[in-house]
Amino acid sequence: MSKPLTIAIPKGRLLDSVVEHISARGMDISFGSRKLSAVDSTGRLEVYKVKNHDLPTYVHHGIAGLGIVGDDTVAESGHSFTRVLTLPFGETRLCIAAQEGSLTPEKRGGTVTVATSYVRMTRDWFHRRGIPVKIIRLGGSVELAPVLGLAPYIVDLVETGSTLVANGLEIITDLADIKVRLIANPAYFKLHYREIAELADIMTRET
Amino acid sequence: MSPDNRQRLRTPQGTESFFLEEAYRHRQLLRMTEDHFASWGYLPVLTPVFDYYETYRPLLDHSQVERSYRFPDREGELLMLRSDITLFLAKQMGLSLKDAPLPRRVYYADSIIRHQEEEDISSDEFFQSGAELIGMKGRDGDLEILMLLHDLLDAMRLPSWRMHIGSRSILDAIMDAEADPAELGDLLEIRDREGMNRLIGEERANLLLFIGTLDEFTELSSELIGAIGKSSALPALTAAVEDLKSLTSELSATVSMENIRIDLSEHGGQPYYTGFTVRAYVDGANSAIASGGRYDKLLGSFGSPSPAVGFSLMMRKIEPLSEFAADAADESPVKIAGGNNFAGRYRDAAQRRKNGERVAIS
Repeated sequence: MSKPLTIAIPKGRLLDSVVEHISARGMDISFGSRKLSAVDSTGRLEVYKVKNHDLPTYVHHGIAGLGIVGDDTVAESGHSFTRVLTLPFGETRLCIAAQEGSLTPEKRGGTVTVATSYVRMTRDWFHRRGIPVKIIRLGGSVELAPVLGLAPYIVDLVETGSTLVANGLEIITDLADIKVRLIANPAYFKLHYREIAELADIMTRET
Repeated sequence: MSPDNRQRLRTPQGTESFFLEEAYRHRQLLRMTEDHFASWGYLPVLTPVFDYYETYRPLLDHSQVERSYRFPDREGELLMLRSDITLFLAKQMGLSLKDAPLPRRVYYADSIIRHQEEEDISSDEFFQSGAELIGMKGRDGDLEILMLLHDLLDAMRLPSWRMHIGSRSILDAIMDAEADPAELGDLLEIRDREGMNRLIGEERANLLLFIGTLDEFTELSSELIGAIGKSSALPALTAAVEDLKSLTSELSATVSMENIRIDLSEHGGQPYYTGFTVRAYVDGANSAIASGGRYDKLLGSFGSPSPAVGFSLMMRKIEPLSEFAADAADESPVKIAGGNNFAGRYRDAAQRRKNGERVAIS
């Protein structure tokens, strides 16, 4: 077999699903103790385990030719990648939420203050609608912001909505559906399109 | 180091300087590139570092506007730093070629300035070199530019590299009246099959996403066009596909197609392309090292409606990968002249330089 394809996979909420999906198609991945790279059992993939937020940077620079990542992380990176495949797990929504009974941002009027980790997507959404927005960047636990009075609105990923409910918040509107994709550095894709197409075929196989 | 010195040695994000062997390698590769252009009958041109933003605004897409550096001059006019030599060159050529005999062959080698994201390890300043053939319509011009690029990449002795040839005409022909060309261009750039299926339908998306050898293109193109079915776009689409097939077939009569692929997702990126497009990729570079194509209407925007075709190379991406550049830096070390005093060392150095040595006096 030729040189393995290089692929970055994200630590965090997607890691188990990614490893399970790939392993179920015959490419077992096993990271040694504290090791952040591994070659799968077939020798097809050289896998790097990286922080979700850093994954687009590794793929953008071609350090990893491929990556598995959510749309939100790609959008926030500002980079553009070849979309090879949509994976059947990890789907979620990016939503605006606020305390129960709040008006929508459009109806509230004036400049809307939003706390979020998703600055670029939030800014683009409000700008596209011509709604003046002030964005407060937070690293996490954004549900606290409306409760503690930092901002009336938050933008965050919502899977079940139970964290929102537990903090007295509700979804006001959806910003975007977030899917998990196999992406490629565009130049890497051009030089390895056949091998990547074979990998995509394997990754879409039913098990 | 004193706090004052530390302050003075800070460098702004995105700036870059390179020295000694690296700069020597850069110059040697540049010299080879310029010699290559000159040997094909191309003459050098220089473009201004900045110009009026308004001149280029209609020709820039959203991302190009975002990445450009703009500033007001002392009279309040908005200026733009050179971010794409082809654009600046088109204006210069439009001004100077009105009554000149055509075709004209020109080449350039200069910096362009574009903003990059903060975490990007590349510089905001890129060194671009390229060639433009102005005033020659049709096949011979296309083939000349493709072969000029092919032979240059070959001479640079790069690791595994490829030229991907596409067509802006195919993209234009396939567009539905209601589809937004910029949106389709963006989707095609990232090969977003789902998005393209939604915008133009699966059959058209299948055609635009084709990538393969000339033999595969010849075998599959009729089938891909046939699947689209009856459409008012069909005659223009068929003509554009046949044109690309014929161009690449003629190319195959001149050169091995081992490093060449037909790739209909290559539409040039820039809105000014009108015919074939080309990008080159090399193992080890994270983006295309060369891009170009035919742009028959761009010079018309500046008062000189001449057809044109050309390409540009991102030299700083090529330099670390080129064996030619590596050899050029290695093959001729600097030696020290011999002699008991300055006059003696000067004479020794002068004599040895005549034999091609690089000699420092002391």
